[in-house]
Amino acid sequence: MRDTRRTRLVLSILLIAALALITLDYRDGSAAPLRGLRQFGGSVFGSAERGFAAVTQPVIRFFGGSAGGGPGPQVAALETQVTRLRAQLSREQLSRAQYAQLRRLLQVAGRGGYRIVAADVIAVGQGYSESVTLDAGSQDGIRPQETVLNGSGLVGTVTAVSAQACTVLLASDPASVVGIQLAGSGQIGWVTGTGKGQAGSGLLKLQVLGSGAALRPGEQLVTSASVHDRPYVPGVPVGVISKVQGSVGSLTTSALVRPFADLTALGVVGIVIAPPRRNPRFSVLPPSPSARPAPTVTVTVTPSPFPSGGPSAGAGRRR
Amino acid sequence: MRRLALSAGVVVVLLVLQLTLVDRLSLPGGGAPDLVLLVVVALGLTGGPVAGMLTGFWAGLALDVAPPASQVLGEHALVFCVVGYGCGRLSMATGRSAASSLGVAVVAAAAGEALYAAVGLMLGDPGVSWPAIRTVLPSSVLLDILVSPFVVYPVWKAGSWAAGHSPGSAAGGSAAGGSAAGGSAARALAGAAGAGRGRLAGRPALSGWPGRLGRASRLAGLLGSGRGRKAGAADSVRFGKAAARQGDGWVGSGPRSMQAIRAQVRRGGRLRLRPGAGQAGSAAAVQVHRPLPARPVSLRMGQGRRGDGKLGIAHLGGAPGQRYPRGAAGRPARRPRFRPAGGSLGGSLGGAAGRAGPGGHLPGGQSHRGAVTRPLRLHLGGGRRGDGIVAGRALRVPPGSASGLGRPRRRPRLFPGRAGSLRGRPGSPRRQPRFTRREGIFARRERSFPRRQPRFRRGRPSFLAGRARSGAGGRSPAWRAGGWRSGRFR
Repeated sequence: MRDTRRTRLVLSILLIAALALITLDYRDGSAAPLRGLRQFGGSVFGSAERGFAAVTQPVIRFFGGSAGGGPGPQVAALETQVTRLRAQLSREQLSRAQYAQLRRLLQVAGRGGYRIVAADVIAVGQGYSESVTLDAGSQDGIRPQETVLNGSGLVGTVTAVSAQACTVLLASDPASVVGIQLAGSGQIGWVTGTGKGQAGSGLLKLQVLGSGAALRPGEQLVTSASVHDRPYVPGVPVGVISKVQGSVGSLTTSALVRPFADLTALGVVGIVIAPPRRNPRFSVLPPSPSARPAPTVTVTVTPSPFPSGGPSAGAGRRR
Repeated sequence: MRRLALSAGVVVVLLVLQLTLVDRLSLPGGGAPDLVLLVVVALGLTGGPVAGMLTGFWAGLALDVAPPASQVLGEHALVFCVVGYGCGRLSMATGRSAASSLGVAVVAAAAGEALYAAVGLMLGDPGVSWPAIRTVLPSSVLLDILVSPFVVYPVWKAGSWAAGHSPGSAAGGSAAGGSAAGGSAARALAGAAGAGRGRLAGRPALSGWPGRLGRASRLAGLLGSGRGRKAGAADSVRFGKAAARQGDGWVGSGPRSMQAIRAQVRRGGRLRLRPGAGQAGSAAAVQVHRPLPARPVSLRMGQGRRGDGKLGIAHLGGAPGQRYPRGAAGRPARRPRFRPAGGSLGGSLGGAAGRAGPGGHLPGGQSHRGAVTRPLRLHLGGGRRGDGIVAGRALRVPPGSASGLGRPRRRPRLFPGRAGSLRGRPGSPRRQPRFTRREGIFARRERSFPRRQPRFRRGRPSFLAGRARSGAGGRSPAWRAGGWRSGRFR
C-alpha cells in the first residue's frame, strides 16, 4: 500500500518497539520479559538448529569449513576422548605446587573432579559476535558460566542455556575476559578477544598485571582459578604468546596470544561440568582406590653362548 | 494469510540455515551473506512497506533471540524493520522490473549491513569496532550482492505460489500469447490490476502476486495506478507502478514511462496498450514487447463518448476463427451498465462489452483457455479526457456470473469523488466503496483503494502539463500530477 498514515503509524510503532527492546536489554539484559523472549527463542531456534545441523554438517564438511565431528563417528569419538584427556591433563597441570599442596592437605586426587559433556557446534553467531551454539543444553546438565574446551585448549564459556542447546561466548570475542596465569612465571593477567577482522585475526590480547613483568614469546598461559570455577575452571591451556607489545608507561604489560584451540573451526568440544555443589565434601574425599591390575613381570632369560667369559676377557684386554 | 505463513516460514528456514550453515562456512573476507536480510528485502519489495517492515521486525527479533546471538536484543529488529520499509517504498518508486528490483535489493542489502554496523557502534557493542567493520562490511555486502538473486527470486516464486497461482498461468502466460486465451488474459489484466499496484503482469513467474485477484475473477482495483513500463522480458506485460495519488485509479503513466513509450514508438516498436485519456482514473500506456503476431487480439478501451469509458469490446483472443465485434470506439450496442451519471469521471467499464464474459472476464471476452495463439493487444484509450477509465475496484466480477459486471454485490460507484469528479453522481457517498476483502496486513497491497477520497482535479496545470500533452495520450494534467509527483515520491 502506499505510504498512508497507517503505514507510518505501524513503522513508528515498530521502531519504538525495537528501541525499547534495545534500551531494556542494554540496561538490564536479565529483565524478565527479555529473558523469557530469549528463552523462547533459544528453545525454538535451538531445536531447529539441532535438526538442521544434521543436514548441514556434510555441506560444511564438504566446504572444509569448521567441520564438526570430522569425517566419521570414530573420529568424533576420538576427538571427544582427546578433549576429555585434555581436561584431565589440564587439571593435573594445575600449578603443580598448588596441586601438591592440595594433595598433601586434603589427600584429594580430584579424580572425577571435572565431568565433561561432549558437544558439537551446530551454529555460529551472525554478524560481529563470536559465539557458537552447541547441541547440549540444560537437559544434559549444562548451566551458564561453565567452561568449554576442546582437545587443544580453551574455547570459551557458556553464556545462555536452553533445553537442547547452549550458547558459548568464544574466547576470541572482544566481550570475553579470561583470567590467566603464565605457566612459567605465575604472573596473573587476563586475555580478551580481538574480534572479527582484526589484522592479527584469531589472536587474543593478553594483559598482565604488573608493569615489570617480562613476557617472552613462547610462554604458555593457562586459565587461573575463578570463584566456584565459574566461568573458567583453572588450568585449561589458553595459548602461547606470539608477540609482545610495547607497553611503555602503562600499568599492564600486553602481548598477543595465539590460542591453542582453533576458534574458527570448532568441532567437538567439551563442557566442563563443575563438581556438584550439593555435596561439598566430595572434594575432600580420599581418592577412590584404583582397581588397576598389578602388572605381571615376565623375565626371559636367554642362555648366552659366551657365559661371562667374554666381558671379562674384554676387560682383561682393555686392561 | 497464506502469504503471512509463507513469510514466516521462509524467514525461519533461512534464519536457521544462516546460523547453521552459512555462518560456518569460512568465506573469504571474514563476512558472510545475510540471508535473513535478503529475505526481508525481497518480501519488502514484493509486499510493500507494511509487509516489509513487519517482516523485518519479526525476522530481526528472531535473529536477535536465536541461540548464538549475543548482541543487544532488538538491534536486528530495528535495522531490518527500517530496511523492509525502505524496500517497500523503493519498490513503489522504481517499479518492479527485474533490474530495478535487483538494484533496490543491492542498495538495501548494503544499507542494511551498514546500518547494523552503525547501530552496533552506537550501542558500544564490543565486537563492532572500526577495524572489524572495515574488514567485515565490504565482504558482507559483496556476498549479499552475489547471493541476492538466489534469494530474491525464489522468494518471488514462493510468493506466487502462496498467492495461489501456478507461476505464469494467467497473466504471464496469456499476455505472452501462450496457451491461455483471451478470457484468461482478461483475468490477468484484472488480477494484475487488482493487485493495486497495477501491474499487468510480470514475468510469468512473478505473475502470481498480482494475478491473485484475477483469479478471483474480478477486475478489481485500480487497474491503474499502473504506469506503463517497458519490461525487460520479452514475454511480459508490465504495469509498473504508477499511480497517482491515493484513490486514483489508472493505468497511468509517469513521465518516465511516457518517454519510454515514445522511445519505443520511435524505434518502431508497437505500442499495444495505448495510453489512454490520461485522466486520473483512466487507462494509459502499457507496452507489450512481444513481436506482433499475425493477428493480434485487441483489447480496446475506448469509447466514443465522454463518460462512457468502457474497457471495451475486448477481443480477447478467442479461438482462431472466432471473431468478436471490434469497434471499441463505437457506440455500445447496449447501454453501458455502469455508466455513471453523464460524464462523471468514473467512466465505466461499460459499453456493449460492459458485462463480463462468463467467468467474469473482461467484457466481450470469453474464456478460451488454452486457445490463444496470438498475443493480446490492448488498446486503452479514450480520446478525451475522462474517457477510457478502467475504473476502480468497482469492476469486480463475481466468478461465474454471466454478466458479472452487472451484478456486483454492491453497486459499484466508480468514482464518486466529491472534489474531483467532473460531475459527481448525486448522492454518491463520500467514501470510496471498497470491494476488496481485506486479508490482513499482508494483503494490503491488493486493497486498491485507500480510505481516502480520490481526488481528481480538473485544473491545476503544472509545469509538466505540456510535456504530458505531448506524450501519447497524456492529455490532462491529472495524470501527471498523480503519476509523477504524488505517485512516485509521495
